[in-house]
Amino acid sequence: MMETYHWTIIAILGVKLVSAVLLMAAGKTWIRAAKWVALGASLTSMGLTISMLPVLSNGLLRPLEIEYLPLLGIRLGLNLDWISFPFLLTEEFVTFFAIFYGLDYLKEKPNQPLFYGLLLLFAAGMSGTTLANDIFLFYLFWELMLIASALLILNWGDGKQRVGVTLKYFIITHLGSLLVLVGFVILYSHTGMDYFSAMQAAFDASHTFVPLVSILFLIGFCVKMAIVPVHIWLPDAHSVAPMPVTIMLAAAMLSMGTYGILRFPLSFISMEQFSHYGVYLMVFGVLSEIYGALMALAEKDIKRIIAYSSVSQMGYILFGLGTLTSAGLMGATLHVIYHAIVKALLFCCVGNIIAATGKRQIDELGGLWGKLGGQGILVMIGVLSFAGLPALAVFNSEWLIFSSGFQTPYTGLAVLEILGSILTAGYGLRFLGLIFFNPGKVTEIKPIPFSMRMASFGLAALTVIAGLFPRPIFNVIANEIPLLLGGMLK
Amino acid sequence: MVNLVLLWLLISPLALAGGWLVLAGRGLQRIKYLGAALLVGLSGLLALLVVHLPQPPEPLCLFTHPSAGEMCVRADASSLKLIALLNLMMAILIGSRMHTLAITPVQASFLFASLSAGNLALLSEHFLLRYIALELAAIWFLIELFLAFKGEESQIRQSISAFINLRVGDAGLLIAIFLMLSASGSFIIMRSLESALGLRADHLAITILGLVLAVWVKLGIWPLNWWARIGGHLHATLFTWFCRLLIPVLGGYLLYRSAVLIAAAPDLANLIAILACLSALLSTLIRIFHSAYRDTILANQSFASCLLLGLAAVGKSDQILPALISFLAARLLIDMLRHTEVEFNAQQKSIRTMWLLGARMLELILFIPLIFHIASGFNQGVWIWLLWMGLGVQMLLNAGKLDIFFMTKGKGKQPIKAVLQTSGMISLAALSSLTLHHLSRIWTDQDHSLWPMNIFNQSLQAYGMVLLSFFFAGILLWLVKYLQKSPALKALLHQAAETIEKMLPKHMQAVSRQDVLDQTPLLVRVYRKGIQFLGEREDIFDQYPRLIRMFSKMTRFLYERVEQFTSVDIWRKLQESVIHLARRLQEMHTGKLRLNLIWVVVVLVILVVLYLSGRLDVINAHG
Repeated sequence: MMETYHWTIIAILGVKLVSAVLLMAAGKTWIRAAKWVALGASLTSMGLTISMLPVLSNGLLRPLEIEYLPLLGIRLGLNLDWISFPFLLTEEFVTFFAIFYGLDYLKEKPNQPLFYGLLLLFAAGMSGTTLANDIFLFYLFWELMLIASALLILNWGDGKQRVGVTLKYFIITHLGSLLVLVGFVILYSHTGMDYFSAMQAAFDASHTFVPLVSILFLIGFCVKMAIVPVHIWLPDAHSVAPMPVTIMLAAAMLSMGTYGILRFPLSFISMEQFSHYGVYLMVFGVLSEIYGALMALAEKDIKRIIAYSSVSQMGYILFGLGTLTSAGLMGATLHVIYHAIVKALLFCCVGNIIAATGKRQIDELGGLWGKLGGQGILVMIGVLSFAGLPALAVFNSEWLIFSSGFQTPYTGLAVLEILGSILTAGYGLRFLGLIFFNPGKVTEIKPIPFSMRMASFGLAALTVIAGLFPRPIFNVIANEIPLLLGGMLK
Repeated sequence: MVNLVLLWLLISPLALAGGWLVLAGRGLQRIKYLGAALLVGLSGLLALLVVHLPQPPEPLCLFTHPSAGEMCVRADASSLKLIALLNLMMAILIGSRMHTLAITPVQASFLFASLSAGNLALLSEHFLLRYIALELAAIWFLIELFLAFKGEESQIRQSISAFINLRVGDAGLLIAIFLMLSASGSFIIMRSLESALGLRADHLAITILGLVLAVWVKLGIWPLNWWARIGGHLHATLFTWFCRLLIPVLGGYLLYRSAVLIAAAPDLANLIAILACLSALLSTLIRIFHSAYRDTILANQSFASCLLLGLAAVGKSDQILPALISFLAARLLIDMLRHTEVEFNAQQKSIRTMWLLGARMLELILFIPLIFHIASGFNQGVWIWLLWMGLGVQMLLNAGKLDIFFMTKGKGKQPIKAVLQTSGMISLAALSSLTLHHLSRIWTDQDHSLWPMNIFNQSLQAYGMVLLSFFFAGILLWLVKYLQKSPALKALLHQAAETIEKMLPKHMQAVSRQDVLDQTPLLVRVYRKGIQFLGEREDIFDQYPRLIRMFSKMTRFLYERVEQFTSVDIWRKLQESVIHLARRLQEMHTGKLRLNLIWVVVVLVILVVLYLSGRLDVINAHG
């Protein structure tokens, strides 16, 4: 029997899917209404997600099961638990801000209903992946997310290179998806279950296929996280995509890789079995952190600087996951949320700078402090947050991730992780200093449209609030720990 | 009552910061400054009062962090004394420079926010809280740098380097905090430090090195003092002055608290002592060519900080706090003097020299036990000679800075006047510095036996004699000038001058009577005559300039090799090379689908290393 919350879960997905289909079907007849429909859908979906918090707090929810292909034993399952909730909430917030930012950003862009339709499909892909409780649905939404985002880059991306970039993005991330798919197939063939909770119950952790499945999942999800060296799709895709899509790619879609790692290897496999892989994750985490930061230091295109910073930030997350401690896992999940907020903020600001000046090479910019209606302060909040300044969002998660490194036997890696964070401050301040405080090179500054300005202010406020009052998010995240690694974490 | 005062110390500067922003452009500037000076002064006095009150058993917990627990502050006598001094200094400076202060409302609010962060860092009994306060102090400094250097490309890049420099220190502190956390399971400072003593040897070593790195950077010790160098190039506003002072004080206090840990690892402590000595010596050699006043002050700060670090390394942590307090007080004195109505040249020279000599007195007090300790701890002649050589260089430098060479070279009367005028001030400053140090030790330790070793007495007495001779020379000059007004004496002096003139070589006799009446050239001539007289008998004075030139060449060589290496330019170049290297790496995977072979190699190498390390573990496990 379906409970009320089952309807809510369906509605979270349904609102976006239905709105997307309507927008795409209506085509040019809904040109003016398209953005408001999309905004309304994302707002509703976000409201519904928040309304699930009290329900979740009252106890674990019963998953929703719908028969789909009875002959093959495939059912469609949706579920919301403490692992998926933080990710879902993050995606909803990011989608809302991306669409809100797009209200003015897309004014001049052609075929807006289709754009918003695809954007909602992209968002639905992410929500569906997070809510899915069976292999089939998970993979379906996983691919929907990829296809919708690829189409958005292909049609509305900047520059002539967008076709090539889309191809690169699609093929590399799809290769990662295939590895995940192979992992699913192996799991399915050994357990005979497609349903996550049933699969978990039937899972024999001592079986010989476990290492293979773990490696497949880890590599597959690391592609989505853009961990070095499988990050090569990210800088191009992020810099070519239109800004609302970039915001969603960087702030929300990257987190799907983290979700995948938490959901599959970490919630299936015991602590003992997974401990072999922890150090690998830590090593690649440090590598990614340092390499991404170096690239951000080297880059001149301001959009690509922030894109490379994602590679670096994902390194922090992977390092936290690799420590296999409750502080590390909590820190990684927190970092996903904080990274989403701050990354969205920085991309909004980058979009605003480009809109106001028409330039995106850092050498061509300068002297913008006090000339962009407070954008300098917002960028300062963003880069200082990534630099780990206390009282701003990212500090809390970085603190947990750093401390978790010292709870493992690999003190050297933990020390490297902390030293690598100096580079984060380096590229952040270079970004801020050269754009705003260097001698002025920009002669003409256009006003920044209202929705673009307000989106960045809203995200900056969230960055400060999340930094000053971390407890509510901590409390939500803490609930996921008993569900991971067989509940063995302290 | 005590807790209320603690809250006042934290909140009142923040209220001032907010109030200043709100009242920007409103009200009389002078009244606002006066109000701020009174409020900050009151904070200082309250801190002093609390030192003598019975301390409450429980700390005052301000915040709770989900992952770090309750974050508390505690009224500790040592921190309260520093807070009192900081606040009183600030009040005196605001009050005394009310008319000349030109800071914007934003700078003023940053200033008071920094004061609050400083008070918080000194009072906090929780490592996370202290880290937060230290970071906040650093970030206000960075923002000030950015705002001050707005529109100057190279300076902006250097500001970034300055903040990164501070972050290097913070990284060291973080590493130490987390290692201590792994031993104690707590961020409470006292508990963490006690538990850290039980860490295994390698972790204890990393913890100590992390702490020393943090202290090294924050104290502004060469060569990790770029932040202080860059800060030194700022226009001297009250805010920049305060930041440049606050961060070293916070570093010094961190050293004071963590000295117990350094002493727990004697081998490492000796290494730190040697490093501190080397840094002190090299930075001293280098500063000979720093003609700018700010660089000289910076070099002195670095030297004094080395000594603080050295004191901790040799287990004399009880002397750190008095040294820190006297450093603060001397700094206040210097800053006050900078704005007195002294003739410009003389003022510049006197301040610089005063600093050098004022600091020298401290250095002599602190440096000698350090050398002795290392000499006795390490039975290696090379170190002993190196350090004694360093001490000798210090003495030489003092002579150099007294501008004796000006006199021998005879560059005119004005520098000589300045030198003589300066000597009085130098002596006063040196004596003041000594007295301050004495008083601060009595205040902090209630220790009335000031000089525990005879060698101190002798050294100080000898040094004091030299200084006093200059002091008396100054007084003599003043007396001569006064007596010149007497006609009888004037005639006498005239006659004396004529007599002396006849004794002088011919090329020096073409001096007007009026000049002769001025006693400065007279003194110069007498001095030269004396040297000439001695020179005819001994060759030492012929050798002296040669020695000086040789020494000058040596130090120039060091300057060009070492100082240039650590200059901001080099760090900028280093940063550029990192960027260049990163760009080369980036070029390796441009294009649409090109997955460069380098990535495959990188991954393979990592995997092989991990695999081999795993195999090694297995082999080890099997015996």
